[in-house]
Amino acid sequence: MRQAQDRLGLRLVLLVALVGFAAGAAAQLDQHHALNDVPCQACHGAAEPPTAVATEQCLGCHGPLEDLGALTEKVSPTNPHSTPHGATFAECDLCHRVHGPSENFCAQCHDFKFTVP
Amino acid sequence: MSNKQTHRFQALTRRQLLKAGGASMLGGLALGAAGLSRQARAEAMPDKMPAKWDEEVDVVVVGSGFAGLAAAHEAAKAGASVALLEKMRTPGGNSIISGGVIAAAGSPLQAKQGIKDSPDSLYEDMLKAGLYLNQPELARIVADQSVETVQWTIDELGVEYSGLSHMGGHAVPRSYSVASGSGAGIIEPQLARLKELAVEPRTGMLLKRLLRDDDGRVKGVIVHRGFRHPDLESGTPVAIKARRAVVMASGGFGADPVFRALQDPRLGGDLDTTNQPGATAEALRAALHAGCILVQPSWIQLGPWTSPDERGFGMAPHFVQGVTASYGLWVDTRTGKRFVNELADRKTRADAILAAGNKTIAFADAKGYGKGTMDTSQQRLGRMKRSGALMEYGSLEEMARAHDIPVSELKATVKAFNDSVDAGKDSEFGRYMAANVDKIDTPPYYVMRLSPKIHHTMGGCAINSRAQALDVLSNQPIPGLYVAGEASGGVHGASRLGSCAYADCLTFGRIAGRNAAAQERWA
Repeated sequence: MRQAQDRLGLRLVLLVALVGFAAGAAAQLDQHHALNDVPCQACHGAAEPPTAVATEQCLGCHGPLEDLGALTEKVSPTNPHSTPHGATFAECDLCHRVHGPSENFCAQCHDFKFTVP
Repeated sequence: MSNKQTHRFQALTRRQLLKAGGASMLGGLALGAAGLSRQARAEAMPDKMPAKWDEEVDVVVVGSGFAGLAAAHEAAKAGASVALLEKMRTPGGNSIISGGVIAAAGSPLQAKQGIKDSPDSLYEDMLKAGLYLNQPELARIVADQSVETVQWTIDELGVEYSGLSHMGGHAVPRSYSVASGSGAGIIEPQLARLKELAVEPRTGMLLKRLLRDDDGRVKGVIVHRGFRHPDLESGTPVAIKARRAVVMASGGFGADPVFRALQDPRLGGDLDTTNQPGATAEALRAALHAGCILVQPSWIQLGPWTSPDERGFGMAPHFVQGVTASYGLWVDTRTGKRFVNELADRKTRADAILAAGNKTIAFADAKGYGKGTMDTSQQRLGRMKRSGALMEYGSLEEMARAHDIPVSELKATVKAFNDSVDAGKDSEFGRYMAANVDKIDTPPYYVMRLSPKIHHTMGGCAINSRAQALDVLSNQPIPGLYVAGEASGGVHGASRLGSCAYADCLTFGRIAGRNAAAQERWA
């Protein structure tokens, strides 16, 4: 139950973030994580120097992918979290950068004007 | 693609080479080497082998589309250690975004539907579309092994198919349709099986050089790890030793306007392509530098079923090919008449559209849409309409007005076709008439405008039936180098038939992987 509430909370935060970024706010995701009491080690562990974070790690808190897909179901012209190209095109870090500006990976082939938080 | 990028397709800079090899790899002309021998020697420009290899494996596979994954699969199954390299950030190349059809001549599905077919018939179709420029030996292998290849995807990979499609230029419906509707339905199971074999694609790995020693053998590669497309200078050089062989499965050059323009000056510039942005020629250039022979590169295929109202491959082929080619009509908007057999091969159709100045549309009625698509929920219909590619009209008159078509001619065209449906035979163009083709008479009418886009590059490295690359000086196999898929040339001649790339890439990828793993080790 507690976990479910946490998850709901996270999704609400995400939703707020989505709306916020769509409105043109610009902050990096590391700041966003820090503000929500998620320290570096929560994602990177104790490794020095820190290594890249796998999609499974992101989905551990934000997932599963289907739930993210439900959050962005209404995004036009298509749902960014529901790709016909398979799991390898659903790696979080193709679009979302935590320590730098995110990018619209789909745009390399499609005219999808997504604003990526 | 930006000019900035295109300028980067220049040859490697000297600085780059020094960075990569630690010492100059430009080795002088090997004038002292023996003359032509059965084992092709690297006479023109042997590479200096690196003093130290950063990694060692049995087989290096360059590229992670159908051919590369199939090669890695067979090599790993044979017990070889494999480095599977992909330069882009995602695996799968063009294969993973492709349309999801694979030719199989004389298949179980055909037998079930009472369709008579044979490898000979597929072979004939391939050569006819290819203007008889295909290397017969190579086309023969693809045709003869087509059923076995599809069966392999089912038995070995667990790929699911939903039925048969009729692709242009094929005598009969013989193309298995991937159930999920795209190449991802094969690439994903390929990746999953490879993972079980402990092989995973390493993304961001750009091939810079095939290292060919002065004994003529390819012994490894220089790659840039951490490559970020399209910056060819990005990443860090790494030398990987290939103890047995290198398989080049690096794809074509459909998204490389500079290399395209070298082969066909009309096809440079900003022409749209169905290809992913990584379909560029630098790996092919590296292969040529190592002594491969570039064959038939001017044959660059335009897909005839694309729309100017959306970017790239888009959703148009599903409608234009899947629906209108069998159940609808293509008309010249200036005349209201049909201008080509809608099921002809790609080149015939693309040339006809271009000859009409692209002033052409493909359309079908509501019944035709239902028969040609598996879009029962009409979800795809909605998406195609929202994207602006698909237009809907309540009557032929309305459609004619919207597209500036002479309405009486258009109606006469539809009537002539409906008469052909009654007769069971297309009197005008001899188009194949499936048993369930119906008259065009039920609104709404769905329309797409046509505009061919760069789709496939038939040319590439010359290979033999074992997928060995041939040497530019001796014409003999280059020891330690195999080429498969779109990176090779000769299988398809002047024009590839739809659904034959899958067959080609998987068949020759497997051949290359098996032979690479069986090649004797040099170290």
